[in-house]
Amino acid sequence: MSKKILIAAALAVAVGLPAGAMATPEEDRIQFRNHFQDRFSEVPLEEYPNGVYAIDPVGRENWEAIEEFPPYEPFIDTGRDMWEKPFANGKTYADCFPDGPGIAHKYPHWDKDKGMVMTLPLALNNCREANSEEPLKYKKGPINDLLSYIAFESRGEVTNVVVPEDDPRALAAYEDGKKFYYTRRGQLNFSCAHCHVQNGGLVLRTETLSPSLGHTTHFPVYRSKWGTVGTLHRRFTGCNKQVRAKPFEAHGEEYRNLEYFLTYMSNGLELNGPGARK
Amino acid sequence: MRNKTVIYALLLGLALGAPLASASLDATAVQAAISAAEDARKQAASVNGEWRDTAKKIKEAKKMLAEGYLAKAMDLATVAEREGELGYRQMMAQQEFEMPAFIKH
Repeated sequence: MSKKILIAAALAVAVGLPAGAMATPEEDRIQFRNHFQDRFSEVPLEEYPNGVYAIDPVGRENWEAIEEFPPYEPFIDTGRDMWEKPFANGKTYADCFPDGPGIAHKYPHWDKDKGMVMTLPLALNNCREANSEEPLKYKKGPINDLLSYIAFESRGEVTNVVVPEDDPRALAAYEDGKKFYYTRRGQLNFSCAHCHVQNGGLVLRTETLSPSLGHTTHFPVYRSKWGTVGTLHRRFTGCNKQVRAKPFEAHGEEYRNLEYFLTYMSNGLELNGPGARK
Repeated sequence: MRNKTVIYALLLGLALGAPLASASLDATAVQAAISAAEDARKQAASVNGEWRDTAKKIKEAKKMLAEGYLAKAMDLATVAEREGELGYRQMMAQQEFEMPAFIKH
């Protein structure tokens, strides 16, 4: 009898939950990808790492012209110098990252020991602090040089975020990021998904909204608007401000989990950072 | 002629009434409104629902109060309090996650 009640209760819970809340990360990813492949049926999957230029032919012409003399090149060179320059104690980044510098495809990942999502900028600063160096600022400045070099050296690697099944905290972090992505916020009452999933490809003032698929493959990015290279979390901050929400701390829990979810959605896509955007 | 008289009377009424309305505000009431706005902002922030400009409006209201512009300070505090309330309600309404219908597959 009690078995029947349990089964009935489980069924009721299952029926009562919205479909998205029950999906596994892999089911989410397939659904996400199908959405874009249906919406832009003429765009091959391997084009999505090019962001908005996968779907905007006029913007693409300008972008290809810019890429002939990439504005992010000096940042790669400076980043290489940073990577090779020893810390005060004589060690280098290579001591923290023996597989480096082409390590961008290993982030973000679930750090079981720390019980949190580990992002590349956070890992770089952990390395600096472990070697008695001051951490770098997360949105502007030298961290972008280092990230540009690492991204450049990681070109051709494939996004492969894992949500390990043996640690429920990893799935919880993924689900937090997913919820963040679909939550309306700010005075304009928009979620990330409203611009980049529902309305990707439409024009907002003079700009075509980029599709979310492939969003994480090309960071850090040289934005003409910034006049410099900036990080993914700087972009998250800008997006939140644009919908008039108070942004969150770069590499704080909210944005780390958001990066975890969003990068997972691009699993299988090639890394091609650093990128150049308007 | 009659219309003109009515307009003059209205203008006179407004001119006299405006300072009177302003004078009816006192600094204590404005300070209470600013405190209420700050509480509402904090409540929104507690659920990650704070809006971008709420804190700026509160800061500006404090500045206006310090400079004696009570009506302006009251307006800003009132808007900021409303923003805090709406930011909180916005997040509370979305506590239960639901996949949006625009993802069809």
